[in-house]
Amino acid sequence: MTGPHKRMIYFGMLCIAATTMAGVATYWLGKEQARLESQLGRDTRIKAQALADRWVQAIEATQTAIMTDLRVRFVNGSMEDLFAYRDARPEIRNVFVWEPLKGATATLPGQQISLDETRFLQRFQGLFSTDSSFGRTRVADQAQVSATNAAFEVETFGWVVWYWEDQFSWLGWIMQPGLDTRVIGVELESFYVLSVALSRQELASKDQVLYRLIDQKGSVFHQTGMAQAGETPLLELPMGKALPGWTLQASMSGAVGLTSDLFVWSARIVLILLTLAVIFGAWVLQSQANREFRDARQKTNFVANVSHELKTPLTSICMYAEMLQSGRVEDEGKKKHYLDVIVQQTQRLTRLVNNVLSFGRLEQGRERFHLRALNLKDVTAGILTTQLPRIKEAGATLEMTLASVVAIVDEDAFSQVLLNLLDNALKYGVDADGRCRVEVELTDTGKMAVLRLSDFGPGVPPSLQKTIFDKFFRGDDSLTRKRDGSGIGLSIAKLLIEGMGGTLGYQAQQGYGASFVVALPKHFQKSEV
Amino acid sequence: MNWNWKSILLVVMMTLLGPGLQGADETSLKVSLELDRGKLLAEESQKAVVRVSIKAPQVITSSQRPPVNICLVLDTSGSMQGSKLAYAKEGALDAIRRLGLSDCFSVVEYNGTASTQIPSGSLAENANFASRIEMLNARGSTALFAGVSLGAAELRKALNTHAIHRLILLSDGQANVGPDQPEDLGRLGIALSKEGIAVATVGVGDDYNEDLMTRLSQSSEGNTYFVENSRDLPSIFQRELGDVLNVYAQEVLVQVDFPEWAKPVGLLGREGRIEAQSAKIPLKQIYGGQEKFVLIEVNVKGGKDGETLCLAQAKIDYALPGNNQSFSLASQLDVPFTVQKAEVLASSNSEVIRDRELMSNTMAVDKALYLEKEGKTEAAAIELRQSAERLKKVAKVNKDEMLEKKAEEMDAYAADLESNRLDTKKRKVLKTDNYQAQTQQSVFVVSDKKDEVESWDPLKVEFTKPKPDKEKDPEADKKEKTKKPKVKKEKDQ
Repeated sequence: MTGPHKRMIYFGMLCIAATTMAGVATYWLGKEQARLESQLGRDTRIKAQALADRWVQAIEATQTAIMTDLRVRFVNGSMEDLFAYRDARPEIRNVFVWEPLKGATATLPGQQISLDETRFLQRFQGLFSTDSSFGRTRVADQAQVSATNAAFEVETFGWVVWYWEDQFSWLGWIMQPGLDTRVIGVELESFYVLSVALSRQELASKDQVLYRLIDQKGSVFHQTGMAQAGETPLLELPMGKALPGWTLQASMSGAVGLTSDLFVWSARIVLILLTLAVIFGAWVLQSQANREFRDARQKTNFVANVSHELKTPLTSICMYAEMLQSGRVEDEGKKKHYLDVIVQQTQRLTRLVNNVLSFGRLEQGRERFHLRALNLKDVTAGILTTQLPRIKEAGATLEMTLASVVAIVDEDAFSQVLLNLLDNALKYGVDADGRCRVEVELTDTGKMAVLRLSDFGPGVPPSLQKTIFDKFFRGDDSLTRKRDGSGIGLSIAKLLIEGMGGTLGYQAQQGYGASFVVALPKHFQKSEV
Repeated sequence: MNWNWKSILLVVMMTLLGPGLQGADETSLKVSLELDRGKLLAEESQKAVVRVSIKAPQVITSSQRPPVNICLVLDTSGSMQGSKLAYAKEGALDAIRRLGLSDCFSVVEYNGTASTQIPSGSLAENANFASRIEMLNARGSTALFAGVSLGAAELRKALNTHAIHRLILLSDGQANVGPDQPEDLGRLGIALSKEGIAVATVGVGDDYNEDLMTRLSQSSEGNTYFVENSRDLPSIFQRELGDVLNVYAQEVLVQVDFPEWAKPVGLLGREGRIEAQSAKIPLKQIYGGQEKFVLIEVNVKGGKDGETLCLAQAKIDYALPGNNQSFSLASQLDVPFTVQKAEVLASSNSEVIRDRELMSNTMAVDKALYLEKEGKTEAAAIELRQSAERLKKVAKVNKDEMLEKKAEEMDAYAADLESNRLDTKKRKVLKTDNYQAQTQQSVFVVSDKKDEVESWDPLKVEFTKPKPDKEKDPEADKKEKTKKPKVKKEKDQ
């Protein structure tokens, strides 16, 4: 069958095409996400740099202001002024004066040295401990040489970032070589300076990013922005020479990452669903087409079968009627026999046509039942008795065990069912010896009247026991090929019985071949009026 | 009326000099100098303690009070969820409602990050403050340093005005984002104090770091509070705001000059400088009705039998908030000398001695708490026991019940230390008590049992004591009777 094969091929091609498109779209989605992320990364970098610059600028502004004061007011001024400056300025923790051979002092002469001044000297011992030069080798690279208007006075000054036992300090110093290389300087109150600088965090607000200032030990010194941000750091920027070893880290809010992930994943899901819908739609169409093809085939078969079944009795009728018409038959016995055959075949034709008509009506839902309470024993016996000649003719035997039971039936429909069942039994219920035995049993179960019609033939294999009731179904070919049949007998019978409120089913029985069971209600059901 | 040039000159001089010579005025600061003994030994080396006490009159009406600039820095970390934050909000609202039209306020919240909830502005500019405070919710960690920084930044916006600048910090937990060492926060506190910003700290619950909170407040001598139940937060905020609105003088600087035969060698329980023959001690602010004192140890060697010499000359410079004026007070201490040791002993001034002992005790407590933090609980207990011994000795000699009580207190704490029963709450109570005693703020320890804040001044409690032979400040007596003298401590929970 090239039709279904072609369809399969087309279907396969469609699946492949849909899947490929979905795959390509997913790939591009992934690329878009990566692009968005990198764009976000760039934006965040710019913002983070701006924030870092802002903070560093604040620190350097403080440093410049203090240094300017030192240069302008104090480098040639009195010690009292310098120490008063320390006491007045919150940015300044200590001031010192260093002289070669004398070392550094952080206490106003005449005063008792305080605890913090002692600690200051301890902290900066490493810096002050060089004898003749103010740690020139250490600070030389940070010195800025600037020439003032007085050309012979060269100032050198600078800032040192000093670490001592994990403590971090800024030391500003200014040196006047002209004056015995005396150096004065300040130690900044680093926590205060940072406090002032870091409170300038407006840049980080209204953002989905968390900015973290990490100190040289790796611990978080300050954070600003969205505190619920996830732990995925996007980037890390060094803070520059004002805070060596410190970095600014920017990490994404988990929510944002989630949103973009959500977008991509939902897009993917939509794609997959779309693809599945397309494939499913194609499959549905395909199976629909298949079914229609099968239905069409079935109908064709049916027509062929019915035509064949119609033809066979018609041929007999025609032959025998012609013979009688020709007048060549003189034997009265033969004449009677020919007439019997004609009547029989006519009856057979009638049955077939009735079946086809019923089938049509049932298919269209136009079948009407005239239900009456009848004694099935009488009805069954009556019908089967009329069939006895035919049965004998077929070389079969019939056994009837009929209990007297009243059921609600439509007489014509019931007789049609019984005849269909009998037909099947006679056609297919032949045992291995070529004999056909039919048993009919009618019982009263209390609620229902049950009629069983069995034969001793090969029976119906279990796999087909349900499908034999499907219209046009004729079992497997090995059995049915030998006999004529329309394939609608059982389906009609089932529909008729069910229409009368009963059931028709196949029941495999030990020692029997095929066994069909009809159950009919004994009393009117409410729904059947 | 004879308006000749002499009287005009006199009037002009009085007007010009009047503000500078406030000595006997009822509405000005009062200073008094005392020695721990009535007489000094002639020509013998001895160590004595000079007490300089400064007392501020009650500030009278609200119309006369200077404007205030406050920032409420509120902890909105996850642990504040529920009733704690609800009470904090109530407290904040109550505090703001007490402000006047010329006052300035701001609110900063901090959890994992700090943000400004209400920027610095007047009541008119921040008319929607109630809804903004209602919006606060609790989540995240505790970036205390960031909170204080942002609060200070808000205060700075109005720093150029002559107002009382106060940062009120609320915290219920350990700082876990950013600097968390008491020393580091202490440095910030020192700098803020130089700027003119006083920091008051309110710790609620069992989990905050009382060392950190007291260090923050210490330099500006701001109040520090331990609130066990958040239900008491509104009354604490009221109390703090009451003080802010009641500042009498700021930038009080005490300078005491000594002659060359009396060398100042140390200050008890306070920060200050000793240069040659003078001691300079800054007292940050003094509230209306409050008395603060300074204890200076001096080595005296000099004087002749029967002579009376001037031992110390004190000059107090202070500024009244709300204007640019600064004022000066002066006082001096004259002491007779004798060769009779017995006379010297008999003349001991038990009040000054009490203050001296109590102040030495606060230093011992500081040391003990430091040792305890280092894990050296035994050494800490020993420190307290030794201090208790000293207190008991002096108590016996002077029949001073207060010192006895203190000694018992110290013994009890020592026992707690020895048996590892000094829990977080007791430690907080001890630390807060100690801080207040050193700065002579009133004590604010609010525990579960009380419905109201209990306020008591440990140095002014009523009890029977021998009256020393010196004139007492009549104001002090009045204050003693009006303050509730309940000495109940919540140590035994």
